[in-house]
Amino acid sequence: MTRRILFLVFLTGSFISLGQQVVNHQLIARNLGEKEMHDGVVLRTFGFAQSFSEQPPIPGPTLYANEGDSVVLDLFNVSQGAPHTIHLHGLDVNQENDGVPHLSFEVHHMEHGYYYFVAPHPGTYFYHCHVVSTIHVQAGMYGVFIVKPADGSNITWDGGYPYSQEKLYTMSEMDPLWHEDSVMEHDHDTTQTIHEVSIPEYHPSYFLVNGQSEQQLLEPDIALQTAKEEVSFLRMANIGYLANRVTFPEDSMLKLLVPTGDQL
Amino acid sequence: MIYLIKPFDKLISMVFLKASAILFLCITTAFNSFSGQISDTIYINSGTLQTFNGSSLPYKCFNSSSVFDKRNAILSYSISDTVSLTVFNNDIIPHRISSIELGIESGLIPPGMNETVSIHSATSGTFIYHDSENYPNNKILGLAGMIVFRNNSSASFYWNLKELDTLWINDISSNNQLSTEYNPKFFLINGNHNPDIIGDSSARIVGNVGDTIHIHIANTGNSIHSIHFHGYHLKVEQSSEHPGHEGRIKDTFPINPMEVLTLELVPHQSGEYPVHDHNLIAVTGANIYPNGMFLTMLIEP
Repeated sequence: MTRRILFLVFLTGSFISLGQQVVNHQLIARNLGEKEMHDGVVLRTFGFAQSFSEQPPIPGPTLYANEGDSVVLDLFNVSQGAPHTIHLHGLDVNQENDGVPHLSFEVHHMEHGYYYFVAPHPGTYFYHCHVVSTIHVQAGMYGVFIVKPADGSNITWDGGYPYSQEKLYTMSEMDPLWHEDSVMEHDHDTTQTIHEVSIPEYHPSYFLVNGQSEQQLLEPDIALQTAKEEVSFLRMANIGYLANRVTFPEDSMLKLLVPTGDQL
Repeated sequence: MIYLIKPFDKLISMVFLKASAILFLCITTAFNSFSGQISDTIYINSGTLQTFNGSSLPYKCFNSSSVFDKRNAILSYSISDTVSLTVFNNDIIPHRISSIELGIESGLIPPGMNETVSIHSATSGTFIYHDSENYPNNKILGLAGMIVFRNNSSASFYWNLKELDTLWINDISSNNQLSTEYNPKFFLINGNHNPDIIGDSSARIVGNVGDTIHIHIANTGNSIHSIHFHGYHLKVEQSSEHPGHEGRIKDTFPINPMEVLTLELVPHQSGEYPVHDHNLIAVTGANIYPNGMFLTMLIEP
């Protein structure tokens, strides 16, 4: 017994000395979310929340870890509907934790599913549900996972670019037809791992940045506010089904650092 | 449910796929071992493409035999080869063969006639060949494939990306004016969609941890695609539109119409992982999910 305790103390000491942490995140999958659009229309959504008292936000909560951290992601499905998963897009996790229903596992209503991985290279990554992904992503089941350097400092990566503040812009679209019950209540035969689902043509009418559009984008927390000569780190992610071209003010001095992957 | 393999069947299919992939590579390697001046022949065939939901579409392809196949021929040569390529036109309308990057532009090939072009590349890489006659209509009807010049013998896989708008194809085939905006309903790799694409040994990546694997991608469609690999990052070896991107290591690769990419994968872990278009409309077909540009790779220890 004493040896076992000493071994645990040794292990704990080793982890601390390497700067590694165990980071726990819980995401609650919900199928009955509501989102008010800029024109007052309320759409039904799916999403990931971090408490039972909140509407699942769109995009989902931004999750953080530092390089080398051991991450435990607890997906609690209280959707009362389809199974869900978490695919850790770009994090190159192993097959078991990849979140693809027929190759990994899916999490059914009132079940927990746990995903384990070590946070790799610092960067901006997506997580999203991979069950009937065309519908579930459109429904709102996505968010961003940010990996910072091992010490959590404001530097792009070890030996990279220091910055004083960072901003995340997640782009997406919404087609109201896809948010009707007839689409969202798709078949989910629990004895099957792949479901054939009929979906409508895609004609989005809301174009979102951080889940907001039109006058909602004037909210102070959306704008990137920076002082002259201040270095800001802008993370941009597009989970929509359309390609976007982003235009910045003419006198902005921007440098592309990471184009969907490792550093340049 | 449209795709569910029982474990034993899955094992058999994996063995079969790997054997097919090895056979394909052997054929390719053997073919490429005769470096120098070589001859090759392809045929322009007209036929019918059957969609999974029972539709029949008029379609045309460059095939390696005089029998219509919905897959355009993949022409793979060694970098040291100079290829004398003869193109037979089995169709009832005239065609050409062209490659902008390789500087090929044949004369008009009337029905029942043939023309020979010489092909050589000073650099390895992936290139598109297509019919430039009545462009882009004949390309939309299917006439576009890929030529690969290789400087290595690594395992290689080939994806010709293309989407189909059935209304456009029927309008073009009937010599009608296009009456609608482009709205493709089918999303194909080498003429196949999920799950059939998994049975294409030239497309489905099969290998081992530590292998060097090349993936040659040509987008011969009209839409931007964004190919996402689960489990791995890959290196851009060649990008026809963005040479400055070469050397980047990424997991998602946007590719514009008539653009080619050559990617290098060195798997660091084993498993079966999806690779698919992350424009998630393209993993559907005729509004059914799952379908379209979605397949898996199988990497063994």
